[in-house]
This record gives sequence, structure tokens and C-alpha cells, in this order.
Amino acid sequence: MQNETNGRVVLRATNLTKDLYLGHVVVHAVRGVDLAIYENEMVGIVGPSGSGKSTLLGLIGGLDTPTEGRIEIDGVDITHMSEGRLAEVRNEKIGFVFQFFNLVPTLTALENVALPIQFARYPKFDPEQRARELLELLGLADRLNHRPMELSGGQQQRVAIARALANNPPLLLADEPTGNLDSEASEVVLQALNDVWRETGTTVVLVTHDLDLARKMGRVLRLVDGRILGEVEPV
Amino acid sequence: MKLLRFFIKHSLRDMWRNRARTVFALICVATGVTAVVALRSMAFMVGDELTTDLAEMNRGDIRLYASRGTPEIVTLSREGDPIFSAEGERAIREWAAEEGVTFSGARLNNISSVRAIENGTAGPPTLNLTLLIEPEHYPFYSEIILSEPAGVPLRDVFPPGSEAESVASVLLPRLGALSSVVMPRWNGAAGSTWATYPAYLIAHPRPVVISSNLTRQSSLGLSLGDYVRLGAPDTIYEVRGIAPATSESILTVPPTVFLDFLYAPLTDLPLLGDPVLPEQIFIQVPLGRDIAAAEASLIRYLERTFPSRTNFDLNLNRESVPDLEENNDEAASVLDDMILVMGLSSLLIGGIGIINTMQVIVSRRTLEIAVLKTLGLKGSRITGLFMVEALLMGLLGSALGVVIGVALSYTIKSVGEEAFQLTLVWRLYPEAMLSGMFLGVVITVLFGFLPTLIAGQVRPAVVLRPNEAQMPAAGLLQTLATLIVMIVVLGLLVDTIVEGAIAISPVYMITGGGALVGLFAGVIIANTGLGQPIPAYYRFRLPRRFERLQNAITGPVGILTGLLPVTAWRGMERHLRGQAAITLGLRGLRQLLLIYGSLAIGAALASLILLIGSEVWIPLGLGETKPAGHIVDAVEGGSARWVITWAALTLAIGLAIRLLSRALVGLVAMSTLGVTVGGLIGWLIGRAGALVLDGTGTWTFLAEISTGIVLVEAALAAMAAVFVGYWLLVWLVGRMSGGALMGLVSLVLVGLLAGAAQIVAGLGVGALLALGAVALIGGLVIGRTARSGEAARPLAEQSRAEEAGGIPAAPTLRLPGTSLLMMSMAGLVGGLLLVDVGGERLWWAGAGLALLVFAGLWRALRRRYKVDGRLVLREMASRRSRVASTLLGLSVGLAGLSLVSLTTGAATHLLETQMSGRIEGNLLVIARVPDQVETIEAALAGSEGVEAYSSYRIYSAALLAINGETVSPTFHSPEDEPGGMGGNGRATQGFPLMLAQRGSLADLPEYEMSAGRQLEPSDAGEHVIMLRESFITQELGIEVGDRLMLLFENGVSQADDVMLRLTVIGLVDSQSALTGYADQFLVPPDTLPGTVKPMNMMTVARVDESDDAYMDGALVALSNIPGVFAIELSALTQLLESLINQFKALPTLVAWLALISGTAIIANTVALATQERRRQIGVMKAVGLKGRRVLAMLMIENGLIGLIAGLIGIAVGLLLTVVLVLASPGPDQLMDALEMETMGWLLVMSIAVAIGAATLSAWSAAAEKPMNVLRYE
Ligand SMILES: Nc1ncnc2c1ncn2[C@@H]1O[C@H](COP(=O)(O)OP(=O)(O)O)[C@@H](O)[C@H]1O
Ligand SMILES: [Mg+2]
Repeated sequence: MQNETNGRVVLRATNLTKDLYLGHVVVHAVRGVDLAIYENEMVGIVGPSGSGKSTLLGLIGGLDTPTEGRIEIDGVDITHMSEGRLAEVRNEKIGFVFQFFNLVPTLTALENVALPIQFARYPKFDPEQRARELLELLGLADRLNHRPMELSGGQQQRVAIARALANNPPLLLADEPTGNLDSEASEVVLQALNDVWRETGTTVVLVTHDLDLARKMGRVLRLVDGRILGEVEPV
Repeated sequence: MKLLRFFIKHSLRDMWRNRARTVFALICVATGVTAVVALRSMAFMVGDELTTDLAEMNRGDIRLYASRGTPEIVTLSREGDPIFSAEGERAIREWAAEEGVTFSGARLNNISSVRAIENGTAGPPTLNLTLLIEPEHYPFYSEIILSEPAGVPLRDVFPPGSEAESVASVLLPRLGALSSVVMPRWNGAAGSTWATYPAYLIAHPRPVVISSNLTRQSSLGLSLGDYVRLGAPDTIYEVRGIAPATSESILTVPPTVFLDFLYAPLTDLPLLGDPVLPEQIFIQVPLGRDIAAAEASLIRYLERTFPSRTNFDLNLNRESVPDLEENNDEAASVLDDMILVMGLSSLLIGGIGIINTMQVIVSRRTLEIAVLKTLGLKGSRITGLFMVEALLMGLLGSALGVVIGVALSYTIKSVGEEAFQLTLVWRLYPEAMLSGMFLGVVITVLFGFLPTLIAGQVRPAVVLRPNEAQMPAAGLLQTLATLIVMIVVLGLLVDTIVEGAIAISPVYMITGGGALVGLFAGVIIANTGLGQPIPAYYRFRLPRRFERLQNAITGPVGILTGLLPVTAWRGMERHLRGQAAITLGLRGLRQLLLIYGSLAIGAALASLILLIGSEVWIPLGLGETKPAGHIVDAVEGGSARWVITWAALTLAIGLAIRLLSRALVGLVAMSTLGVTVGGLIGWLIGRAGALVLDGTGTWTFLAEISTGIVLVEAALAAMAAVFVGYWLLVWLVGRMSGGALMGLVSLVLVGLLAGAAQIVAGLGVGALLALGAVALIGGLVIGRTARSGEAARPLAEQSRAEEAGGIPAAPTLRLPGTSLLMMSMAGLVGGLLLVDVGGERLWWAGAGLALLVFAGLWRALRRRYKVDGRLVLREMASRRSRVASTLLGLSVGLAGLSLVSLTTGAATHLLETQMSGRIEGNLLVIARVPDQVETIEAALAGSEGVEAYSSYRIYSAALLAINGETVSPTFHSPEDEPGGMGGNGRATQGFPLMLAQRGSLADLPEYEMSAGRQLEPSDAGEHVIMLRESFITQELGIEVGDRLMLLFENGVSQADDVMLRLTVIGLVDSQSALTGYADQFLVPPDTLPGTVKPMNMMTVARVDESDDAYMDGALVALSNIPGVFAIELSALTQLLESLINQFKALPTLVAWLALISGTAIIANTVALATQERRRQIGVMKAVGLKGRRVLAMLMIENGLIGLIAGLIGIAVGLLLTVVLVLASPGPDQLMDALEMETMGWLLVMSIAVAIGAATLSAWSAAAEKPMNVLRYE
């Protein structure tokens, strides 16, 4: 389905390690992960709860800084970037989709999607027009001016996906995007992710504890106890 | 017990986990408690000073003042002040000997001039209070110890009585003969030497002790051994001692507050031209004897000695230690109460912080509560759990507040000293500390109670949908119960403060209670019912066209269309008709309520506009007469135009609001309705209760507690009204667009930059140029480097965007913020320079440039930060209540501060213009005896540099009748004041006023007359009067042609009264430039018969100010005339200004404390808000928002709150100041009297305080890594 060997590397992590401190106890959430993800890939990361998936995704996405190791996104080393520069990288290069949607409650769907474009230092799109197009793409043309409270979970998650795509980032990271949805809504969201991947050519990394779900991805990595244990055969 | 331990442990853990929040909440409590403790300690310090050592303060056990009320024992001094007559003094002396008490007399009201003598030349005179005392006795009960020579008692400086008398008796005859010879030579100050002064005087200088303040007077520069000239005819004195300025105070000799004093023996009075007769007599009663008995004995003795109709008991002006004790105790407790109320208000503001905190604590832990509930914990237990937390916070916060309060009380001692002119002694006041602690805990618990109740209301079902953790509304009943508990507790508290000073009937208490219940019911119904759509069951869709019709015609006609059209009804299926009817009924009712609500807002706003309009009507030149201030007046006055205006405004505003929002109007409608209905029901119940219960114990009990409760209800109602106002304002602000907010931000920025540039401009054009250059170059450099970096980027980005099918946005010039600000600064500096160089002509160019800078800044900000603006506004709108309460807290302090500073600023300005520009001169000469006027005029005529002068006789009169109609007395003059300067002790009749009779009309300035004509020289001796229009003439309705009946109370008895009828010949326009002095009521020369005694003689002179020597010369010449004192207007102005400063010291302090409370609330609110918004901030950072910008957003949000609070606070101060100035004699001074700079500073401070407090608690939130926030939950 994808070309592992010839594709450009969108994301490369080397010996990625994250120690977390709970009082005096040190939790080794991620322990020396090496990872390469290629352009236009759809990768699933699967692992049991508490295995460090969210932590890993946070590191990859520049939401947190690693204790050790090195991360490159689109050829740029973000390991030692200042918080301000990191924000720019997140804005331009990465789209996030969270388990709990995390939309801004006071803004409408349209405004939520337009947000990353408006935050950009050098906006690439007209915010409103782009947001409208993306929401239409995700089948929410009639929900543009609704606030998150007025949307169902599945709809909220699709708004979140649209928001993640706003700046047309090379990398989309999704942390249990269906974890908070019923199976029907999950299906819709997954389909939306698939469509997006196919149509925009964005690289997608999806994290889940659900092996069946992970298997629908092009490549599946297994994370146990903060370590990548190898690949799982996709269906 | 075990449960309590669990509660405490749980609470402490929660408080520790949320340290930041806890700290800010504690600060909220602590600031209030600090205010209570510090202010109360100060009150106690003052109280201590007032109530200890009373005999010392009174300078004796009984202190007698000479007053006109007892003519038998009183005569008048040369200056016309009452003093004890020789017979009177002798009688009291005899009584004292008979009674075995000690007697001592003194003159403590002698204002004279003192001049330093250097090489035989006397310097310019300075006014002082010469305290003439009997050194061997003064003061009883203490000793005045000199600071120089150190440790020597006052009495030792003066030779014993007999010797002093002999010196005086030798000196006096010689002096009388010599003065005429000596004085002229002294006046030619230059070249005078000792030799020109009679040898005898030089050889025998009289001893004098000066206060240490006099040594600091630069014009005197006195020290021990220096010679001074005192009074006139002047005598040489030698400074033999320096007494600490604190030897006398407002409590011992009140005038020492304004005047520096010196001590001389009473026996020196002849040297000052007066007989040795005291004005006050001090009696020392031997220890163990009853003072009251001695007092009674004195009265009996006097009545026996002077059998007359005079009631000595009533009229003998005296102060005995027991009286003083009673009076001062009362004064101290009134002061304490006043200050307690001030502190309490501060604490109540802090209470807002507690409500907010508890609310957040509860909402943050809804899930936890729900879980506890599913595990079977009862609601009341949960309430208890949170109560314990509130209690702990109250205890900790109060303890902190007590500590800071005690420390603060030490620092603000000086404020108390300034305000009360007392020397205070600091110590710990356990009562102040305990009351602070107690009030702090009580208020915290009271205010924390409601949110805690809400906690008990959380439904366990929340567990099922943890993600939408919504806060439940407290039940109506619980809320009411809390409110009632709160009102009762606070009411009882207030009751103890009021202590029966006023009594308000329980009927009002019940009415108020009903209104409050109604208000709550209304608000809750509005929140639940009106705001929501009509319940689904009743929802019935009208046929399309009617629906559309109804939607189109909102407002009053909406109700009518709500009636179902007959055609539709006919064609309707039967079972639908019922539903349709109910739907329509509900709709109609709702429409009605909404219209009621919008009209209520409209009416309120229209009334406000009317009120302000009527105040500014005349000053703005919109009309001749002042229109009605409120609608009732307008209706009663039958001014149809005004009523129509009001109605039209009401309708217009009401409809506009109605069209804007439904939920909002619903709230106001329902609450107004609730208040009306509830109040009415309450009133009925109250009336019924009064009928049924009157006389029973229950009613007496209710009557006992009702006063405090009514006051609390009123205060709460006022607070609620203000709160609703703020709520509406926040709602309105929230509807602004993000771009508009950026406009506001740019406006503030331009204002700040311009202010900074102004300040630099004060340093000179060079500094301004340098600033401009630095700003310009800096801006360009930063902008250029930023753009060169930008050039490389977009290509790659753009191709990617196009690839993705996106349309690249139009390329925009994007300067970084610092560069933008610097360029703006450069632009503004340019504008300033333009105005600076070009002057008035280029004013417009400068303003245009500023406008351009503003426009540019706005454009840039709007383009880039519109989203931020939108987010800020949405955030504010979604937290209206919290923002409103924060605004309330902050604006109270600012309102206080602006009130104090603006009114006193305006007063100072008015005073200055009144004193300088408006008076015909700059030198005021006051004499008490008419004969002196000629001497004064001669002295002025003989002085160099005196350009003009005019004299007046000032009379005190009472206006008895206008055209035969009696004028009722409005004011009652207070009883004779200690010091004996007061009236004659008779009941005042008529309207008291001061009348001036001008010495000559030839030099009368040209007035602008609003009616009649100005006085002319030919009016001399005619019974006419010219008035200046003022609120007095308006109140009394005086017009040209009216005949005024005036009463002059001439002497001590009624027989001396003179009545005079004067015809009003002209009314001076109140706006007319004030160039004459004392022209409120002016009569021509020779109008009043010689039998009428003037209060004093006033001469106003204009002295050339180009050389100080002119003024000094004139002062010297005048200082030689006995009993006259001359004062430079600037000195008088300074004196009054220092009085104003003294007056404002305490209010300023209180305002500052309130402002600090407000700041604590802002910090607290922001801390809470960021905590609640942590997640949202994390999300926004995840999608690329920089921490810096998060901070900026929080700063803008709170800066906006600061701006609004500042504007409102300033508006309050401004409004009062405007009213004050308009009512003053110089209404045309309005624009100048308003201190724009102060307002600017207040605004800057308000914004800075809000932003500072916000930054304090938002800094860490903005800097946090997004993962930390997003990880959990
Ligand atoms: N803020 C934190 N502090 C300390 N340890 C944490 C924190 N967040 C998560 N952990 C620990 O890190 C490990 C990995 O967590 P996480 O990445 O959330 O796992 P997953 O997403 O796979 O369920 C877990 O053992 C968890 O207990
Ligand atoms: Mg996870």
C-alpha cells in the first residue's frame, strides 16, 4: 500500500526516552524508542493502557520535550527547540486529534477549524474559506456555526480532524480518536481519517489500545512498557 | 470527631494541591481583614488619644469659655471677641478662692504677626497664634517641657508673676508714647540699626517661647536667643525657649492645627493693646473632690452674684472632665463604627473572591462529589466537607490578615495623625485583632456557603457523563435560606454598629425580604424558563405565514399577532386547538414579560440620561433654566416636552434592547417583576404583621433587629443593582467584534505611548528627538531583520499550500510587535514635535498624525490578532457573572480613589482661582474695628507697589422674609464652639447669610447681569442690594424687585437687633467673571446704619508681584496696625490646601485598601480562570499558539476589565466632581477644574493593576508544556 523504502522520512525518532516524576518515584514512560515514519504512510501504534503511547505521541508532536533522544520532523530537529519555535512547528507541521476532542467550547465549529490558520505566523490560507472547505469535506457543511456543546461526539471528533488539517500539515497525530465514541461514531471518524489520508496525502499516526483498529492501518507498531516491540501484520 | 478529622485532612490536602488558588483566595480574605485590623487599630489609637488624660487635654478639670450667652460676665476684646469682663473674672476668682480650687486664665485665640529681627531689621511678618497664659499654672495636670533648652519646664522661662507685671507696667506707658515715633523708622526697614530702637526696649526684651514649627519657618529662621517683634504696637521679645510642636494639639487648642504658636505671659496683653482679661479660664479641683459638684457650685455662685434672667447653667460655655469623657467616648465610638464600616466594606469586596473560589473548587470537583455520592455520602455531609475547607481558608486568611493588619496599623499611624491632627501612640489592640479575625471567618463562611450548598446538590448521575462536568444551580430554597441567614447575620452585625442611632420599622424589613425573594425567584425563573425555548409538549407550529408574520413583527405588536388568527383556528383539527391555545398563551406571556423587561431597562437608562442631561443643561449652554432631574419632577412640573423625551427614549432604548437579546431581557424582566411583586407581597405581610402583632413581644423583637437587616438589605440591593449593571455591560462588551477589541487595545497603546512621549517631552525637545530617533531606527532594524527572514519562507510554504488545493492568502506586510510599537512611538513623537515646533497652528497636523498612527496600529493588530480578540471576548461573555463581580470589586476601590482625588483636585483648583484670579487682589487685610479701615488704607496707600485696594464691611445677617413671606430657617448654627468664636447662643432665625457693604462703588467691576442692573455710585445710602445668582438665590426664589427683610443680631441681647428692608436691584449672572470679592450679597456704601456692627472689615489689595519686596513692605506696614492681620492670598490658599489634604487623608487610605482588595480579587479570578482554562490553553498551544500570546490574551482580557473598572470608577468621581463644581461659585471653571492628568493616571493604574494581577497568576499557566495539561483526564 505504501512505499517504505522510497518515501521521504517525515518523522524520525532516535533513542527517544521520557522519564516522568511522580513525587519521588520515577516513571520511565518511554524507553529508547527508534522510529521512522515515511511520507504518506498510515501508521498505527498499539499497546495496552499505560504503555506510554500518549507520552510518545506527545514527544513526537512537540507537546513535551524528551529526557533523552532526538526527534526530527520534516527534516527539522525539534529536540532542543524553544517553546516558541515548537509552537510554530506544531502549528505548521503537525495536526493533533485527541481522545476527548478538545475543541474550544466558546468557538463555533468553523471558528475552531480556522483557529490554527489564524495562529500561524504566515497564514497559508484564508481561514474562513479553508475551514469551510474542510468541514464540508468531513460532512459537516450544515454544522458550521454550531458550538461544540451542540454537536455529537462523532461530529466533534470530525471537527477536531478538520482542525488538525487546517494548515495542511505533513503529519497528523491521533491519540485514541475513537476512544470516547460508540462504535457507529467510531466507524464514521475512522472513515473520515481514511478519506483525509487518501485525499490530502498527509501522513497519519494513530495510537490505540485496540488491536483490531490498529490493524486497519498500513503499518502497525507494537508498544509495550515504553518500548517498540516490533511490527504487527496488518490485515 | 473522626469525620471532622477526615474533613480537615481532606481539605488541607486539597488546599495544598491547589496552592496557587489557595494563596490567592487567602489573599482575598487577608486584604479585607488587614483593612479591618489596621483601620480599627487606628480608630483605637485616636480613641485612646481622645479618652485618656482628659484633664490634661482640658488643661484643667473645668474649662470656661467667654461667650456672648452670658453678658453679665463677658465683655468684648479690642478685636470684638468675647472675653471675661473684669467683674466676671473677679467673681470667678472669688468663687475659686472660696471653693478652694485653683484658677488660671488664658487668651488662646490671639492671632498676631511675628517678625524676626536681624541686625535691628525686622523681616516680613508671619501669622501665628500667641497663647497668652499664666505660666505658673499652665497647663494644669501636665508640664510642657521645652526641647530647647532641653528639659526645662515652660514655667521656668518666665519670671514670676509679680516681676512680670512690674516690667509690663513700667514698659507700657513708655511704649505708648514711643510707638508713634519709633514705628515709621522701623518701616523703612533697610538701614535700620539697633540704635534707632529705644534703649529700654532693647535692654528689656520680653521672654517668649516659640513652637518648634516656628523655628522651621524659613522667613523667620529663629533659634534660641533671637529677637522677634510680636504684634502691634510691637514689642521686642527674646526667644527664651522652644517648645515641641506637639505641646498643643487640636484637642487642647484647636487653632494650633492651622497656626504655629508661641507662648507669652497673659500679663503681656497690654503690650499687645488689650487689657489683662482671659478668654478662657481653667479650674483645677483638688484631687478627690467631685468636679460636677464644683461646677454646680460655680453656677450657683454666678447666679447669686449676677441675678438676672441669664441661665448660667445653660449659657455658660464650659467643658468639664466628666462631660469631656462622655463626649469623647461617644466620638471615639462613632469613629470606631465609621471605620469598622469602611473596613467591613473592604472585607465584603474580599468576599467576592471567596464566592468565586469556592465556586471553582466545587465545579472542579463535581466529579469527585458525584463519585462520593454514588458511594452513599449525603449531600449535607458534602456541604460540610466544603464548609470545613471554607472555614480553614477563613481562619488562615484571617490570621494572615491580622498579622499584616497589625504591621500596617503601624505604618498608617501617620495617616491618622494627618487626618486627625493628633500625635498617636501605636500599640497592639487585641480587640481590633480579634474583631478582624472574627469578621474574616464569618464573612468567609457566609460567602462560601452558597457554593458549598451547590456542592451538596451535585447529582450522582454526573459520573456517567464525566466529560460535561456541569455545575448544578443551587435550589431556590437553599439559596434563599443562605441569603436569609447571611442577611440576618450581617444585619445583627450592623445592628451592633448602629446601636439605635436610627430605627427602621420591621415593615420595611419584611418588604425588603419579599423583594429579595421575588428577585431570586425572578432570576431563577428567567434562567430556567424564559431563557429556554417553550417546552416541547406545548410547542405548536403556527401555519408558516403566521409564523413568519409574527417573527417579523417583534415588540409590542408581537403579542397581538400571538393571538391566533381566526382562519387558522377554524381550519384546525380539534385536538390541536388546545395545544395551540396554550402555546400562544405562553408566547403572549413571554412577549409581555420581555417587553416589560426591555422597557424597564429603557426607562432606567432614559432616566439616567435625563438626570445627567439636566445637570449639564445650563453649563453646556443648552438653555436658561435647569430642566427636571427626574421623571416625577417633570410630570409634576408639567413639562410636557421633557416627559415626551423621556417616554420616547424609554421606548427607543427598550425596543432596541428587545431586538438585541431575549435571554438578557428575560432576566431583567423577571427580576424587576419579581422585585415588584415580592416587595408588594412583603409589604402587605408587613402591614398585616404590624396590625396583628403590634405590642407583642415578637414585634418588639423584630423591631429590635429590623434596622440592621434593612440596612443590609439595602446594601445588598444596591450591590445587586450594580452587579446587574456590570453584567449587562459585560454582555454588551462580549458582543463586540475581535477587531473592535483590537481597536480598543490600539487606542490604549497609543494613549500610553503618547503619555510616555509627553513625559519625555517634559525633559526637553532634545530628549524627545532622541526618543523618536531611537524608536524609528529600532523599529526599522527589527522590522527589516524580521522581513529578510520571512522572504525565504513563503515560497516553499506557498507551493505546499497550492499543492493542497488551498488558496494562499494575500501577502501582507508583517512587522513584529516590538517594531510596530516602536514605529508607533516614532510617529507619535513626530506628532508631538510638530505641535511643539509649529505651536497651535500645527495642532491639527499633530492630532492627524496620532490618528494615523492609531489607524495603522489598529489595522496591523486587527489583521493579526483578531482571533485573540474574539477568544478573549467569548471567554468573558461565557463568564459574565464572574467578570461582573470582579469588575465590581475592582471598581469600588477606583471609584473611591477617583472620588477623593478628583473632588479634592477640583476643590483645590476652584480655591486657587477663587483666591487669585477672581479676587480683586492678592493681599487680604482683615480688621475687627471699623475705625481701622482708614489706617489700613493709609498704610496701603503709603506702601510701594500697591496697585489698588477696596474695602468692605462684612456683616452676618439672617434673611427673615422675602416680600413679606417668612423664610424658614434652614440651618441651625451650632452651639458656641470652644474658643469662643461662635455666635450669641440664641436660636437662629431665618436664612443665615454674609452681607458685604462695599466702601466705594466707583471701582466696582463690570458684571454680567442676568437681571436688573449693577450697583452705581449714586446708590450710596440707598436701601438696595445686588445678589449673585447661586443655588441659594434659586432655592429662595429671589428675583429683581423683591424686598428682603434682613435681621442683624447686633449685640448680646435682642434689644440690639436691627432690621432692615432692602430691595433687590440686580442679579449678577452666576457665570459672570468673578472679579469682585464678597459679591454674593452686596450693598452700596452707607446703606447699613452705624448701629449695625460689622463682623469684620475686609480690605483687598492688589500688590505688584514683580518684586517680593512690595508684598513684604505692605505686610510690614500693615503689621504695625494693632488688631489687624494681613495675609497674602497665596498663604491662605496654602493653608486651605493643607486642610484639604488633611481632609482627604483618611478617605484616600480607605480607597487604597479597597483597591488592594480589588487587586486581590483580580489575581484570584485570573488564577481561577487559568486553572479552569488550563486544558483549553493546552489545546490552543497544541495547535500552535505561543505561550507568549496566551499570556498576552490573558493580559488583554484583564486589561479590558481594568479599563472598564477604571472608566466606571473615574466616571463616578467625575460625576460627583461635576456636580460639585457646578454647585460651586465658579461653575464656568468646570473644564479647568477637572484634572485630566489625574484621570489619565487613574486609568493607567487601573489597567496596570489588572494586568499586573493577571500576569502574576497567569504566568505559569501560559508557560506550561501542553502535554502536562493534556496528559490526564
Ligand atoms: N503526569 C504524569 N506523571 C507521572 N507519570 C505519568 C504521568 N502521566 C502518565 N504517567 C505514567 O506514564 C506511563 C505512560 O502513560 P501514557 O503515555 O498515558 O500511557 P497510555 O497512553 O499508553 O495509556 C503510565 O505508567 C503512567 O502512569
Ligand atoms: Mg493514552
